[in-house]
Amino acid sequence: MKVFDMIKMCLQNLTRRKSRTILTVLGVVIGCCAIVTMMSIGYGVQNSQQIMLEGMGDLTLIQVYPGGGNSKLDDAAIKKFQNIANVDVAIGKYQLNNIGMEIYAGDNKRYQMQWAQVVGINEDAMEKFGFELISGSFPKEKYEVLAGQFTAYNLMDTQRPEGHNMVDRWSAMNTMNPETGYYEYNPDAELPAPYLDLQGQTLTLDLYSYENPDQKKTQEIKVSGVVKEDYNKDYATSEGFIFVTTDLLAIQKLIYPSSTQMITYNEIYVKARDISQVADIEKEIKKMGYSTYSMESVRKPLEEEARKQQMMLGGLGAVSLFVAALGITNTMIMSISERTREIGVMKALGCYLGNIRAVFLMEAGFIGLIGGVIGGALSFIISVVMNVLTNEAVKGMEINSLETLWTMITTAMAPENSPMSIIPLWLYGFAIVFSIIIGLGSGFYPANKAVHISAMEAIKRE
Amino acid sequence: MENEQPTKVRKPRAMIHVKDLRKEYQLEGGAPVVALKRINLDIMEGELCCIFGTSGSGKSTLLNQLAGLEKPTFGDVYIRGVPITRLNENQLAAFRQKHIGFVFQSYNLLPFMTAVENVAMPLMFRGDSRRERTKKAVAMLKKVGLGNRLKHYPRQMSGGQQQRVGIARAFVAMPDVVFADEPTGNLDSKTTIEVMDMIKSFARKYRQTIVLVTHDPELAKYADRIVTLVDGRIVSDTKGENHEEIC
Repeated sequence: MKVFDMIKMCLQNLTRRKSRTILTVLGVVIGCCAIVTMMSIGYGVQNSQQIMLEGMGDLTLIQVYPGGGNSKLDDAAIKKFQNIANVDVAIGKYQLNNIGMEIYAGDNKRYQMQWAQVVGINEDAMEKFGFELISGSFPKEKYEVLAGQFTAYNLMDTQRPEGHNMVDRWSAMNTMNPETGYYEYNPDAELPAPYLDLQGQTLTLDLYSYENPDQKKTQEIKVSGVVKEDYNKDYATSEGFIFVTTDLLAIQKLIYPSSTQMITYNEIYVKARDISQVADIEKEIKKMGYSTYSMESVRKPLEEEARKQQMMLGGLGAVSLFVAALGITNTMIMSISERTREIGVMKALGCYLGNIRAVFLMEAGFIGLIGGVIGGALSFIISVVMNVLTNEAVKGMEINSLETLWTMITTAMAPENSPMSIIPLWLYGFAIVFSIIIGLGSGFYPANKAVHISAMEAIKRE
Repeated sequence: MENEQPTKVRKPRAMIHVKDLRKEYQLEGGAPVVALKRINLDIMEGELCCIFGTSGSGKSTLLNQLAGLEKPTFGDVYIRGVPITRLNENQLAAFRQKHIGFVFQSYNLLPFMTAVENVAMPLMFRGDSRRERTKKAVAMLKKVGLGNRLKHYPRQMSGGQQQRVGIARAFVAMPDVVFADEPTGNLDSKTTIEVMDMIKSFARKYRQTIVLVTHDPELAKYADRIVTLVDGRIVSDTKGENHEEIC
C-alpha cells in the first residue's frame, strides 16, 4: 500500500465517527493544555524569582574573602581570578588607611562635607562593574571621580544659618505606605534639589592622618559623573566618591610617603560573564583558598524549589494527558472491534500486516497531532487570559479600542512584568510532538490487536 | 513470492492440490473435534468446483484451509505448487494479492468506500497507483453492468448490485483462483442466476479456477464438479450437470 493511500484510509476512518473522534481529540486537547499551562506557570515562577533576585543585586557578581593561609587579596589574586574561564572582570576595592578628609566645594569653600565614603576601583573594572550613570561619564583624566547619587545632600552651605544649612532628603524619602501604615524608605521619591549639583564640580580635599590631624595636605578632584545608588556595589554609590585605585594610592602616598607599593584590597569582586557560570567560577576561586559569597547561594535553592514546583505542576498535567492516552486507546479498541469484519476482509484480499498496523497507528497519531495543535493554541489563549487577569502591571488599564487591548496584552505578557504564565516557544513544539508520541503509544496495543484479527472474520456468518 | 518456496509443482495440471488434510478444533476442556478427516483433493485449472455440504459438514472449514485463512492440523494445501499452509502471514498476503480472489456471502464491501474504491482495493494493497487501479476498477465495473454506479456507496445499492461489485473486486486483479462462499446466499432467485452466470463467464473467459462453497443444490448445478462433504469426509465427487469438458 502506498503511504498516501494509508493516510487517506486513516482519515476516512476518523471522519466516519466524527463525534467519537472529536471527543477523543478533546481529551488530548485538555491533557495537552493542562501540561503546557502547568509548565508555563512554573516558568512564570522561575522568571519572577529571577527578576526578584536581580533586584536584590547583580547575580553575576562573586564576592571574594581571604580564606586563611596565604590567600591575600592583592594584585596577584586579581590577576589569578581574571584568568579563570568565563570571568568578565575581577574588581578590587581599595580604601584609604588611617586618613581623614574634609571636602570643600564652591568659591571660598562655601560648601563643606564632613564625611563621605571613599572607595577605589581598578581602572579597567570601572565600566564593567556595572555602575549606572545618572549624568556625566566615567573618569578619564587623573583625579576624576564618580559621585554617589545622594552625595550632594551631605554638603553644608556655610552661608546659611545653622539648622537650615543642609537639604533634608530623608523626610522626603521616608514615606508612609498607605497599605501598612508604616514609614518605608522610598528611593524613587521626589526630592528637593541639593544646594549644589556635583556633576562637573571641582572639589578640594583636605587630607590628614589620624595621628597628625593638623598636618593637612590638599588635593583637587573633579566629579566626572554621578552614579545611581546601589548598595550591592558600594555604599559610595549613595553618599561618597568612587576613585580610580591609582589615584587613591597616590593620596595614600601623599600622607604616608613611606607606605609600600603592595596593596591589599579590602574586597575583591569577580564578575562572571553569565549567571550559569557563577557556580563553576566560585568553585575555582575556592580551590585557590579563598572564601566566596554570591547570590548563587540564594538563587540555587530558589531555583531548585521552582524546578520542584514545576515538576509537580507538570506531573499534574501529565496525569491528564495520561487519561487522554487511555481515551485514545479506548477509542481505537472500540473502532477496531467494530471493524473486525472489515479488517478480516482487508486481510483476505491481501493487505499486508504492516499496512494494517500503520493505518491504525496513524489514526492514533493523528488524534494526538490534532489534539496537540489545538491544545497548544488553547494554552496560548489561557496564558493570555491568566496574565491579563493577574498581572499587577495591567491593573486599572482601560480597554476602549483594539490598540489599548493589544498594549494590555503585550504588557501583561512581557517577562519583565513577572507574568504568572510564560510559554517558551519550544514548549509548543514539545507539546505537539509529545501529543503525537502519546497518540502513537496509545495506538500501539490496539494496532497490534487489529493485526492479529483473523482473515476468517471475513467468512463468518453473522 | 512462490519463487522463494523450494517446493516444485507436484501435479502440473492441478491448480489446487490437497494432501492428507486434517483439521481439529480444541474445545475448552473437551476432546478435540475433528472437522476435516484426511482430505485428498485435486482441483484442476479452469475448473468450477462446488464444495457441497450441509451446515456442519466441514465445507466452510475446508474453504478456510484452501484459501489459507487458517492453518490445518495436518497436511498441506498447494496452490500453483506453492504450499500455502506453510507461508507466513505476509507471504500469504502477497500470494493472495496475486493469485486469489474472494466473493463473500455478505458482499463485505467497505461502507465508506465507493464502488470504484471497493473494486480497486486489492490493487491498492498491491501498491498500484491510483490512476492505474481506478482505470482497471472502472473497466471491471462496466463489465458487471454497474458503469452507472461507479461513485455509489454500498448502502446506495441493492443486494444484487453489491454482489456484482463484490464479483468485480474478486476478478479485478486477474487471480488464478476465486473462492466464492455462498455468493448468492442473500439474493433472490433471479439475481442468483445473474450472479452465477457472471462468475462462470468470467472464469471461462480467463480460464480461472472457481471454488464454490454452498449448501444449495440448485447452486451446485452450475458447477463442473461437485464434491460433497459429510462429517468432514468427502463422500462423493461427481461431474455437475453443466459439466463442460475442459483441458
